[in-house]
Amino acid sequence: MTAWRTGVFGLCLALQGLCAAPTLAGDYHLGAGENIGPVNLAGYSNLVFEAPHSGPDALILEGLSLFVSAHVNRYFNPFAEAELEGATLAAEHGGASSGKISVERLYNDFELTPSASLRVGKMLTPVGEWNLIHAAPLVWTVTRPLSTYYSFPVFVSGASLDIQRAADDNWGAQIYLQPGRTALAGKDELTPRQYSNVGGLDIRYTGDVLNRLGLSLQTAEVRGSGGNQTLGSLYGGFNTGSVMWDFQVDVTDIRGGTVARAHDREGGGFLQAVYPLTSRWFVVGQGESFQPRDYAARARHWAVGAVYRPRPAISWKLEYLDAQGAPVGEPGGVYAAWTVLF
Amino acid sequence: MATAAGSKARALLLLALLAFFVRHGYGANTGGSIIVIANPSVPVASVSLKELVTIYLLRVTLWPDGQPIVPVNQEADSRLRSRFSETVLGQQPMALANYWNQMHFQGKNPPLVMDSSQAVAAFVRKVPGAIGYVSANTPTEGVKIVERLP
Repeated sequence: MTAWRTGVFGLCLALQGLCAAPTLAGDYHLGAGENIGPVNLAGYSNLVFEAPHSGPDALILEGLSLFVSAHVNRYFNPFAEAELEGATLAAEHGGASSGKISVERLYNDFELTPSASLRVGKMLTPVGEWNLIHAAPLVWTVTRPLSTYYSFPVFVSGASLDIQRAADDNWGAQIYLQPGRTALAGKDELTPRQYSNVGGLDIRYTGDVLNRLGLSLQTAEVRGSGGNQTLGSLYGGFNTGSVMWDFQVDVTDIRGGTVARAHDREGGGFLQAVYPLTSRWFVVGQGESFQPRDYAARARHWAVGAVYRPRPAISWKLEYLDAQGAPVGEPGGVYAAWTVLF
Repeated sequence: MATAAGSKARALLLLALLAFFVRHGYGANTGGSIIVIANPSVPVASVSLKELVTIYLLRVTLWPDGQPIVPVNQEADSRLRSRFSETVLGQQPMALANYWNQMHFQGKNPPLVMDSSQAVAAFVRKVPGAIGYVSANTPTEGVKIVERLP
């Protein structure tokens, strides 16, 4: 046990040393990827240490993602992302695993007009904001609120139309449709349910980068005779003084199906506050109440933590999660992470 | 001997101070006003402040003629970038950097970063669809001035 902890400490020190290098050579800027002609190569890593109240401590490479994009012309703007996830590097009582590689996104954007873009392929589902920016270096907590993934497919494969009302307007909308099942199913197969025939609409108002409000609507069939569901999600972020707030509230109505459930309505919401102590140190608080369809009890989660961001592309996170009620999501305990967007 | 050592120390101190000021953008980038420049191929004569916001927040990616917009930024620790971020985009540079990282993850390339006004002007001159901002004393031959900021 002592040797294992020493190993973890040593690894963290080595990683911190790597981080100290300001940038790589040339025009490379950490977080912006490497440009080779019209092609951009980028990615992120997420190394997590977890010490849950119930279960062994573990050091996990929670995500190592590589994404490639190219902007060739109006009609050829491909994007692909592959991710290695859940590789347990070390665990308290053994049990290391090699993780799983999945194709998270694979699509092409067609720029139809300056204010309308058609996307075809496998993409992140525009429900709320967290799902679209779920990469660990971009979010403030190690654990993810249930409201941001539990009730809907996090990926869809099909077509979407993204519309900005006018070049100088703050309103935008995205409408999407997935006929049948999700292609190249990976992480989406690990969520509690799988879905088919998904369609939805996301409307957003962006005042500025810190003040946003959006509404997501979606219908889907829950595979395995789980019935049909309709989801509504209100989300956004705003700034009060120095505090940055983010929230998402979901309600999902479920109809029909043959699988037993405790509730015909699932949903809840989270509220997160981030307070900057300095330009690099932040305190994070997050609370969530969520009623899963399969449990009589609600899940109540509270998280408090500290984040050190020496630069926007690098985060060191430490948080304590208190999880009560329905046993969904991450168990309560201590979590720490080192994340880099490169 | 002691005098020589003192002179050497003072010279080193001056060099260190000079390096600090250059690194933090004092000098060329401290000029009063900011000029927004674009490649001559850009099909507009001027760009409003609100349009600059939509361009640099990556909400629009094409010029009216369908040509891709290529926004260019200055170095993260540049004072000119701080001024542009706060007065034009209305945001702290750190908040903007976080935002651009989020956009990058969503497949939208953040503004390219150049290390000086001269480098920005050279890039904008060369690349069709490019738009950038430079200090007022930067030579602007071969580019189109689309906005002057106080």
